[in-house]
Amino acid sequence: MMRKISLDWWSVIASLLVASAVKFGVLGKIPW
Amino acid sequence: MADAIVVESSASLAFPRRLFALIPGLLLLALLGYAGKLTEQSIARYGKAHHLALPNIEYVLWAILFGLIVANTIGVPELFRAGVDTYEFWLKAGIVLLGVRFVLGDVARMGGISLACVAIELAISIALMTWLGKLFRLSPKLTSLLAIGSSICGVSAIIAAKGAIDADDEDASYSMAAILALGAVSLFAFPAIGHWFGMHDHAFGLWVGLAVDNTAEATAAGALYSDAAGKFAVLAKTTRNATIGFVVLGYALYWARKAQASTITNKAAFLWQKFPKFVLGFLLISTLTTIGFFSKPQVADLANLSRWAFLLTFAGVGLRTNIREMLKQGVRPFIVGAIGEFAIAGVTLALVLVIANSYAF
Repeated sequence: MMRKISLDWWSVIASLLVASAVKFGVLGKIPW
Repeated sequence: MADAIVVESSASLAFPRRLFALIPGLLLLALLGYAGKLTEQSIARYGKAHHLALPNIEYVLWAILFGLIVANTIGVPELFRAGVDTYEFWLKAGIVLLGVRFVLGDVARMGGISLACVAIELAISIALMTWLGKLFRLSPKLTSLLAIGSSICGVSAIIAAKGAIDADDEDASYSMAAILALGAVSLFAFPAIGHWFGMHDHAFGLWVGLAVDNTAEATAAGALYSDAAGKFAVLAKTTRNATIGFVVLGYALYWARKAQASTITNKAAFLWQKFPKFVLGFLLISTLTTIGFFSKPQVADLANLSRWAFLLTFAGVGLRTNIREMLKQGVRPFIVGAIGEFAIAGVTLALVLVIANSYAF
């Protein structure tokens, strides 16, 4: 059975994916 | 075999369906958060156009207020619940991404100061709450939960401790309601007190991180004061959160010795299980920033992404605050919590003011 990934890990995984997307230019400029 | 195929296909359908169920609530979070941001900008524009000195009320407060109004008037329909509950995910993702605004030197310096303060705060909160619980004759496990909630990180600490000390659902919901109600009050009271004392952004951030229990409310109260205060509030609060495993372990061992909770065989595994993993993500992003992995514009982009994540969080803080439900929970745990929190806020304020003078911030 697959182990459930906790919310904490999801937040880390998602943030690292987004940070990589920013680093390698997949995401354009993010305004505020 | 046919059964197996049916189970497999329904399981594979479940994940997209669950994602789809998040959309209405996510849209509601985005709508209320963005309305907060637009309100802040509109008021500032109006003041500028008409040469009026209007107070700058941050989007944080508007997003929370709009959420509070919706939750306590029309309520949050079932359709939106799953998406609204993601506010905690946005909070943690926002904290991880906020790591981009810290170089490791800052983390070590402020984290070190925070850790020393956290140790003092933990000792005072636990002793005080235990004494108050006895004084008001609350059940011992409810007292333990209130002490854990007020000393570390509010609701998540109570949830972590509930299983570890085999506490009743009722005690857990009492203490969560008390912590949440007091968190809602802190949101407005702390920035007002900070301004009254003319506190520096760093000192205010440290104070909020030490004294406000729930991470979402601590982040919001810091951001309400200023952007820099919000940043330091998150750092101090994250340091405090990192101690969750030790405190819960201490209580679990105490109740196990009294044969009122299951025994813990592997303490290291217990500590790792309770450790908030997003702290590791925060440190990783901060390390990458320190070694120059991100360019300046990329740092700005990631900092903005962190703000967008917090925008969703703040709308969620308002939406999940149900004043009627809190009032229903009875007054005694709330009084104990309020007295304790008031004393903790006073002691940590004195501590931070002394430290701020010594370190000149």
